Amino acid sequence: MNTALVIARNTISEALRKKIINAFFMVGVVLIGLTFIFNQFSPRQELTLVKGMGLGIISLAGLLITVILSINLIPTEIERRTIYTILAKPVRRNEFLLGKFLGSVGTLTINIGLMGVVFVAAIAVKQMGSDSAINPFLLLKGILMIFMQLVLLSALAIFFSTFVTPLVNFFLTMVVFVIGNLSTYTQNLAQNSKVLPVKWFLSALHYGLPNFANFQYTNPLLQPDVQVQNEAQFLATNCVYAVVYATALLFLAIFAFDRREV
Amino acid sequence: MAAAIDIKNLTKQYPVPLKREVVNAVDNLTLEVGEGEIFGFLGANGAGKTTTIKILLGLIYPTKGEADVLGAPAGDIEVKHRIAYLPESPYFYEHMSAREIVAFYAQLFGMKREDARRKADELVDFVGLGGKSDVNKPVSEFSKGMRQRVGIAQSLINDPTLLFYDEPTSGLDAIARRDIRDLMLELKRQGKTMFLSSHQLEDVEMVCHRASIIHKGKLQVLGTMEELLGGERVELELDSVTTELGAKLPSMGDAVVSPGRATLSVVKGEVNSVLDAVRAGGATVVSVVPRKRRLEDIFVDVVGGTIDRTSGQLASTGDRPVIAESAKPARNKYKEMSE
Repeated sequence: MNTALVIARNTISEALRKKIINAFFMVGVVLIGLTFIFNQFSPRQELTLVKGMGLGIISLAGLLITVILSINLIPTEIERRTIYTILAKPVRRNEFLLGKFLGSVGTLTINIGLMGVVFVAAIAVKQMGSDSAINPFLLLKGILMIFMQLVLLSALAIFFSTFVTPLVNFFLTMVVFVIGNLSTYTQNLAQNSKVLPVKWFLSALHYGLPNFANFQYTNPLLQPDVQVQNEAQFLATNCVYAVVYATALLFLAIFAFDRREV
Repeated sequence: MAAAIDIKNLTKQYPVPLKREVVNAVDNLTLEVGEGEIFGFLGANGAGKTTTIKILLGLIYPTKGEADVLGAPAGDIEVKHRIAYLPESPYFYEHMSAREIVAFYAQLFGMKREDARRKADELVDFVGLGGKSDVNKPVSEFSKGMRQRVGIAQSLINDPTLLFYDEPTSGLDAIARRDIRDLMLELKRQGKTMFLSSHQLEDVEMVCHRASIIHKGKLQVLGTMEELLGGERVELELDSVTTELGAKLPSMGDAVVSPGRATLSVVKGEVNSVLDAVRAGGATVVSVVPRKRRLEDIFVDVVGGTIDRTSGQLASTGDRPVIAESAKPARNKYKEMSE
């Protein structure tokens, strides 16, 4: 575990120096700041808009950071041959892979965390003097769901990166992310389909691919009249789902990477 | 006691893209390297040297055969505590300084951060990068020679028993090359076992106890440096060579005859009898120059195709000195030699 943490620390330190990752992060922060330009609406509408846009921007910037970072973690090590000197040391391949995943999660924590801080601060400033102000820290629940969704996405991209090229990985990860976000539709289509192979295929998609739609928690945060029954259970279940699914993907990734020649 | 490296019938095949064929990167290689031995592993580009090293490190897997390192199957995690690897043109995390890189690798051996930093300071000094101007500089600003030194520093973290060095002096200028060679000689003096792949044949001659040459994945030549470079020859320059003597000269050695003059290369042990014969034949001996065989000559013979490789067996060219296949290395013989 110690070895994995050493690799994770190094991965974070390297990722935070990547220009493209920083660019997405900066764009995210700037866009959150730019939500202040909407002042032609009523204060209530404006707050809803800022919250919605802020969460959307964090989600999108996080998605790009996760995909760009995770699809390249293993291939870059192989391509520039830094992996040789690491695996020639007493480092198991599973420790290396786990270290890379933890490094990705650490980088996401820093990026999403900072964007979250900016977002919460922006909301707090926006609500100054308002009578119907909400506790801006409630928005952290939405940010937690985005974070857990991206942790799962990172595990998926790392799994793919053990056997496909970064370009193929990019498309695969994005396709699975999109289908995973349309989980309700694939379920409905599967239930209503009359053609058996299509029904099976859609059911396989629905049950086999990670359900990224589970993590959509923007509506309850934006619409006061939309309530989630037993919110704590909802959040905890989603966190456990992300951890269990990511662990399963990492096991598959280790299985593939153990057999891979570097 | 087990050999440091024991390779038996090792084969690594790669499929040829779009064809139902395979290419043998390593072909039925059998080799043993003794403890304390500095072993030269030579071959042209693409001969299978790096593939063999990668198999020995567990980075890739053999198609057939066995490879044991320090008594355990190649890639064994416990053995990796006792070995080191310097890849050809080592690449590092560009944003890190030499000290940070070595400390990072030291932590992979389980060292605590403080101990790792201390070890890094010590090794960075040892390889000559401890100067104020270098120590905090990112590796991206390093020359190739400096990167190679970082590579050597990271290879010494665990005080390894066995070192795999892949082209440690390739692409370096004369000064850097000499420095790295001196470092290897120091490691030799310390009794380390080294599996050295190199194109710098002079370095191999100076540093190694034994050397081998592989070509297209097959072992072609294996012997101690004495066996490979022994059988010194002497070159005679002759004047006033008669036609009659000129006709006899090729039977005495490698002769280049021109009207009235000749150059004759003979085995050192036969030089006196040949001198007597050419004087008796009326020729004047202009010069007698000893010519030592070089590893380069053997390498060119093997790679250039002079040596018969058709059977895959070691062979000589007849009139050239026989390239001997040395017996398996005597246990600890080389350690004793170093001490």
